[in-house]
Amino acid sequence: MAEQIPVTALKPGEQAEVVTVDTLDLISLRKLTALGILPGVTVKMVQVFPTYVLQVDYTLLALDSQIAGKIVVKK
Amino acid sequence: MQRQKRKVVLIGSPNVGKSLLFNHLTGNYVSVSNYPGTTVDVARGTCRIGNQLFEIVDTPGIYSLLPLTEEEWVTREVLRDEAPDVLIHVVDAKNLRRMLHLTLQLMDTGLPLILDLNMIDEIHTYGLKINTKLLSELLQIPVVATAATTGTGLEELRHILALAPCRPPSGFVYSPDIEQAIADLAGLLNNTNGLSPRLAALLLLQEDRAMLAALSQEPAREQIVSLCRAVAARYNDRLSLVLAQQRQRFIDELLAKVIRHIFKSRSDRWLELCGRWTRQPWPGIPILALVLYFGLYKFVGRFGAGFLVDYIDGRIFGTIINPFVHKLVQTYISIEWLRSLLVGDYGLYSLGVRYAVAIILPIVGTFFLMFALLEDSGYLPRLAMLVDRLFKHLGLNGRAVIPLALGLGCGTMAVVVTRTLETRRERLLATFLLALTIPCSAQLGLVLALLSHNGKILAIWLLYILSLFVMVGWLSAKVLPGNHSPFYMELPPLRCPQLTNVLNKALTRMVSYFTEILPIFVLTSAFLWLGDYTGLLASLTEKLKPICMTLGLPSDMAAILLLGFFRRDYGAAGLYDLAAGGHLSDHQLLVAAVTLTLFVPCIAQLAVIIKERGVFSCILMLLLIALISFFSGWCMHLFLSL
Repeated sequence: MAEQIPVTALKPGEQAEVVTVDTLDLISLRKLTALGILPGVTVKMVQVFPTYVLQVDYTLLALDSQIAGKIVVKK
Repeated sequence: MQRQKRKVVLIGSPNVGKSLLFNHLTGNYVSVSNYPGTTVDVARGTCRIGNQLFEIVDTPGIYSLLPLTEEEWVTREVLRDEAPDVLIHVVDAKNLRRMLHLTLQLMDTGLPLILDLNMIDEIHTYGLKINTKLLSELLQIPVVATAATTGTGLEELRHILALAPCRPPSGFVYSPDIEQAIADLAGLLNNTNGLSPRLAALLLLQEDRAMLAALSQEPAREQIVSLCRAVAARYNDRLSLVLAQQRQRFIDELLAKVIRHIFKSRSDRWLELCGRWTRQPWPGIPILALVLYFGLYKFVGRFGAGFLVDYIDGRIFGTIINPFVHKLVQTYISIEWLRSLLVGDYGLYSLGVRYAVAIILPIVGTFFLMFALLEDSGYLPRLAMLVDRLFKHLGLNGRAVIPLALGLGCGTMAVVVTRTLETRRERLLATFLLALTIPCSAQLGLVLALLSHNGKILAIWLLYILSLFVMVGWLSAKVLPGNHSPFYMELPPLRCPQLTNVLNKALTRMVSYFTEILPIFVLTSAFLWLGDYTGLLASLTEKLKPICMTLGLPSDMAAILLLGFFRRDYGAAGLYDLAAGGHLSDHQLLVAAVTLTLFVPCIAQLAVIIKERGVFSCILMLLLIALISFFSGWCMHLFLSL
């Protein structure tokens, strides 16, 4: 089984599948699900500075480390 | 035949073109842009299809029926309070996968629903094709494809509206145990908060704030709570996530049937390259500097406040309109006080109308034009992500750049837009920074025009205001308890702005600005005239004079500070008059510019601050602002006298 890592560990250009989203913080969970980040979805890291930029389908999402850190992926 | 107006509510995520669609349907123009948070309030209009009248309601963008910000609550209140006849869910066609979640949630409202796949033109560039007929059959609701920018598909939408779907959709079915819980909860709930029992039950399962708060009134409270707990325990996870995953599975199966990839994406290379450049620190920050230099300094400062004001005030008013009005008054009005009320030093015409039309309008107009261009291109969300790290130190996140940048245009509008910020603390911090450090375009334009002949003093002014912005932001973030909220934002693709859209938008803002300020300008000059006539102004000015002396300013400045309270731009315009007369040295100009930039916001902004933040916060802010502005002026004076 592939290793589970936070999405923030991806390098620009890398793709990964979302495994889970940290559910302790309800507000962040809602934001992420509303933006289409759900288990099973493939995300691509586009940029890591000054904020993380993830591509999900045809959308670019800018996320800071606080909220991006809640996304767990496997490569 | 139906005579009664049917109510249609537009709902959708931010930035999917709801407002533009609203404009097309109603013929009204609400401001439309390529960044989230333009619609912070509900817009209403009417439209006639055949002989049926419709009331169209445009709502602030929401991502789901579980609101995160204040403006998102507005949308849910519309659903709760307004008893709509039909909902139109507007989605960005290429992001259908993500947006169908809300469609499924809206089905639970029990209201007739139409799905509008907007921006359908864009999916073609991505090589996608959507079978709308099949989608409609599978979802069992009418589906229409539109492109609000070009007007494609709007006839069909009108046609569907006229057919008046009145059958509520059957709704998405969750797993059996969830459905059982929904049915049980719906039976137990006494008060569903004006929502359908099914939706109320679903919101409760997802720990919705409003539903949980209303729970204390429920007779069967304990049963409800234990039921929710039991379901959550079975999944060992947040039900928000569980339900979202169930919807996602359904959506993925659905889309596999209706979406076809016909060729590889061929998006615009050049725009894509610009999109990448503008979101990376290099070359994003140099690009930002260029945007500020050309957009703000060259266009608004030099062209708007310099050339246009000189031309309109000096040539058109100075040589044509002023002599004409003066002659008119001299000929037809013989009463002395009435003459001075109209064309005297503080006359309705000479101060009120002339300031508003000849000095403020060109500056504000050029600013709104530039801002509309930036909005329409999709640049602002990129700006937000670039400054996010800096703004974290000010207790805000990148999102706050949008109200703050708009504040460079009009602080009053900007305070309203702070509603897009998530926490009370962030809204308070942003409002304070807006009131103290962000000059509105009228002030900015005039300061640029007044100081630009001497690069050194302009640089000192800029540096001082910038460092004060950072320092005050940093300090107040330290003083106010709480944390910044995490930053998340969609980055829409950069688009080539459409000229008509940009012009329309700038014009709408100008008209609303102008209709707001002209009465205040006229009223202010009437007050001032009265004050002058009765000698009250002289005695007030007399009291302010010691302050002006401390700052090393001529005593005429006292009156300008007073004016500045009525409208910041009005005060700035007064300063312009004084400087044009050659009464101020460069040092005095600098001190005056610093003091006036920081000084209390105008009456309109003040009124909005009271409305949005409350009287107590407002008074506290005013005291701080008065203190900081005079202290800054004094420090500047001492520094320059060294």
